[in-house]
Amino acid sequence: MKYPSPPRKGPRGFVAVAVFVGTLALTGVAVVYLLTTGWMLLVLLWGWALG
Amino acid sequence: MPVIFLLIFAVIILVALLGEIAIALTLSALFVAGFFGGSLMLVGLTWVYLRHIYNVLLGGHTPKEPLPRAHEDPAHLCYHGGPAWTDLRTVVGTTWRVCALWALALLPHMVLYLLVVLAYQVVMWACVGFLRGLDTALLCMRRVRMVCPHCFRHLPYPAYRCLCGRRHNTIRPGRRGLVRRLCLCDRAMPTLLLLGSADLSGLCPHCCEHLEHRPGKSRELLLVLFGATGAGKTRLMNGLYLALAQAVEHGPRRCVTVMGAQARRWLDRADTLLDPARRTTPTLPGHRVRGATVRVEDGRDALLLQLYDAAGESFARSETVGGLTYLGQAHTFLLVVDPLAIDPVWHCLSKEQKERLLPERSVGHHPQIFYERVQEELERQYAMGARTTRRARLAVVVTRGDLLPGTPVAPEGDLERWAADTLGLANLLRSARCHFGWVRVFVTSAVVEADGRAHPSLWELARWVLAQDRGTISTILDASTTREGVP
Repeated sequence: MKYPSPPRKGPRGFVAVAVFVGTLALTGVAVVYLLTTGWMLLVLLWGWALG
Repeated sequence: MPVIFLLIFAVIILVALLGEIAIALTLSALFVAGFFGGSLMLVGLTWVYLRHIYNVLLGGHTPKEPLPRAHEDPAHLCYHGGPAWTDLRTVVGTTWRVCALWALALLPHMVLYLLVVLAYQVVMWACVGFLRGLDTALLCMRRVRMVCPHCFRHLPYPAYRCLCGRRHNTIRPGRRGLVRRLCLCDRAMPTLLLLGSADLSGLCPHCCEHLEHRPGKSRELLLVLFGATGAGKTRLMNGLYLALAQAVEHGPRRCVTVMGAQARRWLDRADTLLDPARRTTPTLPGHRVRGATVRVEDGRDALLLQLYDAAGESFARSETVGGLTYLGQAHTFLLVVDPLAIDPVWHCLSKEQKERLLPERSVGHHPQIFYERVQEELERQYAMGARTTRRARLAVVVTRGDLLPGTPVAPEGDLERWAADTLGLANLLRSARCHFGWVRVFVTSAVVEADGRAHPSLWELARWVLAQDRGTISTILDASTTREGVP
C-alpha cells in the first residue's frame, strides 16, 4: 500500500497562528508585569531601607 | 568615659546604618537582576517554545500520520480527528526535553495551546454533528429509505469505492473529513449526499455487492410478487415495467431506466416476452433472488422501484419463505393468482374450454396456502422491526384476464365479490382485510396489444402500485390509465 502523504496544512496553520499570537501576547504581558512590578518593589524596598 | 561611650554608640549606629544600606543595596540589586533576568529568561524560553511549535506545525517536522487499521476507512485523518492532539503532545514533549524543569515557566503557554486545540475540536465536532443531522434530516424529508437488492438488508448509509479501488465503509462527516475526505490515493470524496456522495460507486456495507442504482438520492419502493409456480409473476413484472416505460413517453422530462445488467436481462425484452402467443419460461428455483431495480424519473423527482420475483417454489415451504428477508422491508405485495389453477374454477369450464386453456393452466397449491405462508413470515419479520402489517398493501392480482371472457368464470361487476364467490377466495380476502391496511383485487392481462402497447389492466395496476408514493411520480400514469389517454 502506498504510504499516505502528509495531511493538509490548513487547520494546522490556523492552530499555529492562534498559538503563536496567544503565546507572544502572554509573554509580553508577563515581561511587562515582571518589570513594572520589579521597579515598584525596588522603590518600596529602597524607601523602607532608608526609612 | 561618657565620651568613649558616646563614640562607641555612634560607631555602632554608623555600622548598623551602613549595614542596613548595604543590605538594601544588595537586595535591590538582586531584585533588579532577578526581575530583569527572569524577563529575559522568559523571552528565551518562549523563543524555544515557539520554535518547536513552528517546526511541528509549519516546518515539516510533523509526526507521521498512522496508517488506518484493518477495520478503518482508507482515508487521511482530518486535523481534528487526531493530528491536533498528536501535534500538541509532540510540542510539549520536545519542549520538556529541551528545557527540563524550566519548562514549568511555560505552563501558561501550554495551557493556552491546550485551550486553542480544545476550542478547535469543539467547533469542528459541532460542525460534524450538524452536518450529519442535516444529512439525516434531508433523507427523512425526502423519505429515502435504502434497501440492498442483493442481501435485502436496510442500509443506514451505503459504502463507497474510490476510483483507486479502496472501499470506504463510513463516508459520513467525522474524524476523516468534514465535507469531503481524502482517500489514501489523495482523491477527494464528498461525505454528504447533499454534496453528491450518491454519485460515487456505491456498495452494500453488509454484502459488498455493487449498488448500481446509486441509493440515497431517491425514494425506494419495494414491490414483492408472490404466488404459485406458473401463476404469471415474471410476466406481470415485465408488464408493469412495460406500462411504466410507455407511460413516461408522454412527458418530455420523464424516463424509466433499468439499473444493473441482471435487471436489464430480465426486463429489456418485456415487449417480446408479453407477446400473447409466447410462453414464459418459469423462474428457476435455484436462482438467487435479487431485486430488479427500475428508476422512474419525472423532472427532478425520481423513484427507485425494486421488483422482487422469486420462483414459486420459494413460497411452497416455510423454510424457503423464511429466507426471503426482503418481505420484511417491503410494504406493497402482489399475490399473483392463476384462476385456471384453482380446481373449482377449472371444473366449471366446458370440455372445449378446458382443451383450449389447458396449455395455459399452471399446476400448484391453492393461493390461500401461498398467502398464509407469506403473511405469517411477514408478521414475523415485521415484529422484529416493531412494525405492523396494517401499514402494508396487498393486491390480489388475477392473471390471464384475456383468457377468461366467454367462460362461466369471466370477471363481472364488483371484482372483490367475483373473486370471493367465483374463484373461492373469500377466506383469503377476509384474512387479508384483517392483516393488511389496504387490499384490492385486480384482473390483469400481461400481454401487449396489437399496437404494441401494454394492456390497460397493467396500467391500472401500475398506478395502484405507485399510489403509495406521494411524489409527482405517482401521477405519471394518470393520463394514461384509460385508452383515451394513450396517444
